[in-house]
Amino acid sequence: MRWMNQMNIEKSLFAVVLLSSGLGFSIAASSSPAGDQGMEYSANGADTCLLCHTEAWAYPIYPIFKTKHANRADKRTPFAGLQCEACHGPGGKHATTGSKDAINSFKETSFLSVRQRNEACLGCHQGNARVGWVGSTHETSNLACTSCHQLHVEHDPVLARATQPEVCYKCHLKERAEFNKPSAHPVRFGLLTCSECHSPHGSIAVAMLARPTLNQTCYTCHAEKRGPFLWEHAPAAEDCSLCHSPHGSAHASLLKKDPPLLCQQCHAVAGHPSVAYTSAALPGGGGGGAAFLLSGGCINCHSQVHGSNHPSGIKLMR
Amino acid sequence: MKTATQLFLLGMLSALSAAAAGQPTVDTSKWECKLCKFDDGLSGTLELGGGNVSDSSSKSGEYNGLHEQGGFLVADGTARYRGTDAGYWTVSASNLGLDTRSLAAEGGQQGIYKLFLNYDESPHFVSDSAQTPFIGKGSPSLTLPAGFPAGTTGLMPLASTLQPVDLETKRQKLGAGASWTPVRDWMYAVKFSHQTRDGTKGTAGTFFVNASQLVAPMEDVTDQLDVSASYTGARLHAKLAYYGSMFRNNDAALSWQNPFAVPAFPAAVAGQLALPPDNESHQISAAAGYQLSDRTRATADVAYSRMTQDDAFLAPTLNPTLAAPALPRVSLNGRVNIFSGNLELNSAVTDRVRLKAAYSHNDRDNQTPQAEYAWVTTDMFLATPRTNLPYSFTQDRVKLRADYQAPAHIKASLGLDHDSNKQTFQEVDTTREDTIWGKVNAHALHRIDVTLKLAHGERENTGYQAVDSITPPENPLLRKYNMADRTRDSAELRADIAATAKIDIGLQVDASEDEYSDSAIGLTSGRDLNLNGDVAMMLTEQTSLHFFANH
Repeated sequence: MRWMNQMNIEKSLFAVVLLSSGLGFSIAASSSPAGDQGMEYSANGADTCLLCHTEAWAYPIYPIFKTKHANRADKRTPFAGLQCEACHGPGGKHATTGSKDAINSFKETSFLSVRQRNEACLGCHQGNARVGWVGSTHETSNLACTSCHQLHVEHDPVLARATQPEVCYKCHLKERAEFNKPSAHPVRFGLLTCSECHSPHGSIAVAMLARPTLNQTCYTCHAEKRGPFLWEHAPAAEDCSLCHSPHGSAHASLLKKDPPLLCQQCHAVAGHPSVAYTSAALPGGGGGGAAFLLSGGCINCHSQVHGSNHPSGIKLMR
Repeated sequence: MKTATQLFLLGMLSALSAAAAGQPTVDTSKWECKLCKFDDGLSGTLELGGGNVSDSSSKSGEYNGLHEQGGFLVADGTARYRGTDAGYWTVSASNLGLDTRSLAAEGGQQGIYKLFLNYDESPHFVSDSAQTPFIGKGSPSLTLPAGFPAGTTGLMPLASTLQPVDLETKRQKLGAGASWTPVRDWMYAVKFSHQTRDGTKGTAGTFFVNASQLVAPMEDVTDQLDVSASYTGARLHAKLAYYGSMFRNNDAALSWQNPFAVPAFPAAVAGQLALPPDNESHQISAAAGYQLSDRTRATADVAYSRMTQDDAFLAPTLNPTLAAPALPRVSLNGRVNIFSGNLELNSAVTDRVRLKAAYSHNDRDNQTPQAEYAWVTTDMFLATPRTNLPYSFTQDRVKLRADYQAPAHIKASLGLDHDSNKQTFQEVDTTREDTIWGKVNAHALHRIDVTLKLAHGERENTGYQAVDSITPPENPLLRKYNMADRTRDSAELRADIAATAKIDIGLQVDASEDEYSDSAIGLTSGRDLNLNGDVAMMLTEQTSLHFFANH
């Protein structure tokens, strides 16, 4: 009863949190298939579990002892309390029968619903980034915490820059393809993670972005585009994604189309080359439109497309 | 004390088993954890490797620095310490020997405080095959050798003057921060980063219709500061934060000599492009979530940002023969306030029905003063003065959603989204878009998950008219696609199949079709079709293979 004797006022508050959260989902869990876990804890805690789940076990669990969850000096952690059963629940029946139905495995095949499995994590990890979890796209899509996180490994792949995208790509197939296009943010090179732009635990911003608006998210790395400029390009100030595909594109600079086609979807100015060009305008086609089609297209002259602070930059040419 | 223990156990049990109830007790006096292999003390890893690049390629090495032919060595390492008093530190390095090297250090007392320091480099190689006749590449002033200017490109002495130039930049980011949890419910955090970019990028400058490809310098610094205090209570979560970002550019402008001789404007011999001006952004934000009942939660956040820019204006022209009238101000005094507010309500009204309502408001209020500016067309001649148009936007969004969890692992969702955008100085004052969508998800045998989503949206504007102050005018039949009337239909079908315990298959088809019914010129229709296939094979817990295809 040593750990109980160390309980203090803070732990009492913790208990209230757990109690309220536990009651919350026990109501919603009534439609889930009932498990056969029982209420008895094991005789020796982790020592009971590790008699079978040895280092030779097919599913390695020993790396958990290298993680923060196994820091006994931090009294909030599982191994400062009910050890394995702090998360997996009472294991007495599982230990005596070996039945997989008598323990919460956190796997897809668990007898607990996703929401019930998540509550085991959220009982402790409720604060800060999890404020927006309830009702978030990931939560309403029935994602379990363990759909993305691994607990028994020394380094959770979703928390490492080089390996996080692979975790996200399990569901986001289209984004995997986009990040492999010729022009893309350097996610596939391990220089950028999904979570540097998105809040996977939920945010009220569009597309679960990390900052309140799309442009403010882009400005964290591209502050030079922020302005405000004397001569603004309205769509650039409003929404970067009107011209750019943020994950990747077959066109240079992550553009949705190549200039001049992209520009001519919105611009057909009088007194200016305003008819959509075709390949006939290329030098090989006998046309005189090379300056409008080759290299940057419209950008050959209007290079300040994100805005200009030059007094003579109204046409975004200075 | 005993009461608290019982509450703790009750919470745990109700969390872990639907069948659990009552107030069980547990005797942990024999839970010695003798078999637990806690990793206290000092430990570390070191990895060494090498490789060879067969051919030089800026594209292959675009972001990894391996753009040149030849061998390379790479090293990773980690050293860590964990004490019995929850004190710990970790130092790690990766990609040492490459241009993507990074270092990270973290330490503290777990559960009480954390300090961290990190450094990383990110290269971006754009081109290693560009050539330019300009002298001074990478500097803010580009000059030309003898033989320039010339009447046409063909008359320029390019064969003898073109010099190779690499277009490449390097980001270096130094970060430091700390977090402190004095009591369980409160956490304070501060994070600072100093990011520099150094290198060159391609741009272009023009004298009327004669454009030149230029190499612009990139030497800038962005400092960012995040400070926050957050509270996590039984029902209330709250966070108050400040975010500041300061951008400083070492170069205000890029000037270049005109390689084209223009007999009609013989003094148009040099031009100047404004480089991104110094600017700042400061934001204060607050977020809160409150558990109204066991089934209902409300979340809200607000953020107020102020973006400013007041760099001194450049001269309107470098043409000494043009007497441009004095500018109305010496700098812009650019000020933009952004207010973002969101409110969301979630409720599991029954075990099977869940409702969600969300409202968001985003207002970009551009308070930059307007003035009439005399300007010079590409350093050639004075043009009719123009007034700057500080664009403002207001966006309101409402989202309603209902989910129904049917028996047999079938879930149905229905949603309605309403977007309203108001803007100033543009062809359309207001656009409104309503989208209705439905989604069905079926899960069977713990192996197959199929989702079908259909959506239909209609956007209308309040009238499209030319903006008087924009000259020359756009074609009156043109409709800009972000403001044009639009009908959008989209469909997405997705299947996730756990073929075996170690093989997962994902298939996805999504398509959308846009019709811009009132757009005679501009974007009139759009179609998008994506086919995705993905197979993941888990060889071990640490190793997996992925195959994917996309069309």
